[in-house]
Amino acid sequence: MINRIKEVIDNEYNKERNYEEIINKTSKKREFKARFVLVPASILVIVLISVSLLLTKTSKDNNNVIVSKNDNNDYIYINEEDIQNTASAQLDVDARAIQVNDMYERWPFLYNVEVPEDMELKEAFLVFVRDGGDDYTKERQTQIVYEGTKERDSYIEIAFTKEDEVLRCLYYFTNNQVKSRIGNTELQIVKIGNTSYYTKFRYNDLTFEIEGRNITGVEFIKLLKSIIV
Amino acid sequence: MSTQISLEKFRQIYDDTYNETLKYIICNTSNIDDVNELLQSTYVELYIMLEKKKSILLDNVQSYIIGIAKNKIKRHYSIIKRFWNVHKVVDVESDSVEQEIPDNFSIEDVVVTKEIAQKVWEYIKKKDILTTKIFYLYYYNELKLSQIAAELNITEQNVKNKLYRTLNELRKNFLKEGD
Repeated sequence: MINRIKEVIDNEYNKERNYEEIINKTSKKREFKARFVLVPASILVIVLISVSLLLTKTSKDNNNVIVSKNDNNDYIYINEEDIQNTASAQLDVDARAIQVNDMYERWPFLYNVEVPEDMELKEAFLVFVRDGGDDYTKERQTQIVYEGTKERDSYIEIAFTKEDEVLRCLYYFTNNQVKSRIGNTELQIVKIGNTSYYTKFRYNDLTFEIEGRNITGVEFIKLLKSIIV
Repeated sequence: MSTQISLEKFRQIYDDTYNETLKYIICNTSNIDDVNELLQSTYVELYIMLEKKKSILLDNVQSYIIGIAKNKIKRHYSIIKRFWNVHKVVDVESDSVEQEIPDNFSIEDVVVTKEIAQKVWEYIKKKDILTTKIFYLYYYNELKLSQIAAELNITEQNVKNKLYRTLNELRKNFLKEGD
């Protein structure tokens, strides 16, 4: 007996059509990248000078990580991890949207956060947990989400709490990762896959965990330096 | 045994891993309409990785790709939707009313034409996401009810209830159309 439902589902998730889309998307990503690589020499010089203000010296060690130092004695070490090494958990929380104005009033440092120009603040939440009873009444942490254009598909999430740890679905950090330093603040910075960066640190009595997706390492470090001043 | 994969083998890897990756994404998505996008972005990530690293040595290619898909899914949904899914799992288990279908009923009695099959699938997609996943696993992957329960981390009774209730609805809504 013909399974017509199976045929319909097969057509919905058509293997050949998806393959064509995948190849198209990889071509578009290459073109997008090329647009920013093939620039006039003079502009390239300006870009290089600007980048050097953040990261004066970079080198790759044997383990394929990026090490850099600058005049402020900041030390940036990006640990590269395989996605298979990440762990995950389900969280028992309630997330409630908050008004942007309320958010800035509570956390004025957010005015100084530097994200790439094509990105804008999209959502902000307060995360609540249970406090002994059934209801989610204890405020645990704040989460701010920035998103970029659809073409770039960039995303930044800043989570922070007064507690020692940020609650997270995914864990990227291990004890054997090399620590970085910005000013007097120690951080762990991890890169997973091609374009995802994560960091955690404690600054001004807040514990931060920040995720950046489809942004460059330079943009990610610039964001961190706008928070850790 | 480890396998070396490279860009030249991308099409073969895609063909070999597609079905399992699709099944994983469908079972773990929060919105059935996001499946193709998630699937494509998973393989785009793999493609770019192969382009950059030239070749990767892996113990298990399928697990590696599932790992990419897992991360894609988690990042695709905003924090509100991730937490919303946590609560929803608890609600589903309270649905315990036993359902029966007529002994001589088969979904093929309803989907006599391709057009009706399409309408039936659109109807199923509009149900809650769990029902859609159950139908996909039952009719596309041809899994048993116990296997579906294990795959979706719910009880077999829950699978049966959702499947049979929806089949009854289909029988009422579409059987006349197929006559």
